[in-house]
Amino acid sequence: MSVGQVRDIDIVKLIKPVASITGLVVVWYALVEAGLVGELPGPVPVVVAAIELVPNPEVHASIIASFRHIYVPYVLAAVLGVPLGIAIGWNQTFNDLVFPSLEVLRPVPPIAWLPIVILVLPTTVQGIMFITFLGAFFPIILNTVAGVRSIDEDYIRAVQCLGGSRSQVIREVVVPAALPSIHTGLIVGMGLAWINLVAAEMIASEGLGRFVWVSYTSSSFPNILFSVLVIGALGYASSEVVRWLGNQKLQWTNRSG
Amino acid sequence: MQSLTKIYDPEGEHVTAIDEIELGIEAGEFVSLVGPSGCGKSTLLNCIAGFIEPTHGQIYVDGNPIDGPGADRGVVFQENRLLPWKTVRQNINLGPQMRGEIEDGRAEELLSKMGIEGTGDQYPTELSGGMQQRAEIARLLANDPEIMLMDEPFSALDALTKEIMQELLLDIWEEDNRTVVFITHDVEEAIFLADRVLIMTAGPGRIKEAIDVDLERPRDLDVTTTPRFNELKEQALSAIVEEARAAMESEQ
Repeated sequence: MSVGQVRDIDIVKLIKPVASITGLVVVWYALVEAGLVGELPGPVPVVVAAIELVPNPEVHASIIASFRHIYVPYVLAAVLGVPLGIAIGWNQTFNDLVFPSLEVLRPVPPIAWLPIVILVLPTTVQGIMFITFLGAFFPIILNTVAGVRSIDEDYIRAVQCLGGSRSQVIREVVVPAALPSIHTGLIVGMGLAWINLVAAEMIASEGLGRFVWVSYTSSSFPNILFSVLVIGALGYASSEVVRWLGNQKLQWTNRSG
Repeated sequence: MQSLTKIYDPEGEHVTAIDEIELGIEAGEFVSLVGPSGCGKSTLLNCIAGFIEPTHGQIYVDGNPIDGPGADRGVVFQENRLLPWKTVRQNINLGPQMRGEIEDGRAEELLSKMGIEGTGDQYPTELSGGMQQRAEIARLLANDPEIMLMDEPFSALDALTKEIMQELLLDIWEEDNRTVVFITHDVEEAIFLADRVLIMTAGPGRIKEAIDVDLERPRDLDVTTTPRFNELKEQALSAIVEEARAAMESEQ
């Protein structure tokens, strides 16, 4: 296959996502022009705001702060959630002891945690990180559990009759077989961490969520939309990074003969 | 094997899958288990493998009671259970690797013995069904089990591949004389491979008849056209037909 053909295929692949984003902008523009969405600014004022905000150091600081609020808790959620999910999925007793409590806590919305973290945690940054942690933690744990439970028992038996011990079965079968689900959990968890971030940063002194809140209280609506779009784009990009990293590790799932 | 009974108890209703089977298998013997579907063939095999525990009774290997699965009893599954996230070579090396004694070149040796040299770096899903079964047998041989338990290993293969695999299996077996318990619903396959064909009854599973196969070894597929082979086949089929009829009548 020549280089030229590869490029053609890449361009064809790009057309649909570009069309999707363009369509969103067009619909947005049309709704604003038709006066159907109140005072919502259209694409033009937001672009004007963006030109002003993109070089703004305050915005840069907000983005960096938000990344910090996301990545530390996200890594922690992965480090805790994956082993916990494997234990819950693998051991029925552990499941019965732990899972019901998790299921009670899971549906609590991030905003409902705000007063609790303010009361309990000494600094607001810890509170914010706790809430983004929860956003990532639950999807990671649930997908890991589902991945472990869906393992075909014969794979486990196959390794047992090759002489595999309990820990070898977990290492050779349970973890690799659950990896595609764990990967999905990591992608979804990254998205939810960003969603929770905006709620959590309402109490923050820095970050994109706070930027949205400040823009709202000062009625600068184009700035709100700009920062919302930045959050969306960064959340999407972060999930894609996780997806890409995972696909590098999971090449066996893409092969078939 | 002493008075082995396995009772499944779904929703309080006792289903006796196999009932008081007494069976002795010699070391190095090739035994085929034949019977109608649902007769407990796989249950019996899973008990020998140690995957499930019999409700009553006990299975002994060399005088020692079985307690869970072990490397002395290797299983070939109906659809192969090669680990899809490992290459063929990694699969073959898995047993030795878990004991910490990988031998260089052993995987290659087994691949060429099974006639699939050069596939070591591929993933199992990249191979055809027949090649996957060869790779699974290679994985088992790498582990050097005393007993090979095979649960309809060739039933998903096309007729030609199946015949090739049967001859290949006999070649391997004649080389190191492992004990083989081979489950099938194909009477010809059972007779062609085995020293002894055990015919099982359905619901509850018992051994109805044992047929000693006195065909000369080494065998190739030409033996299936001899009069003696046909006699044995008639004998086995009549027992199975009788059994199938009884099973149908009891359902009515």
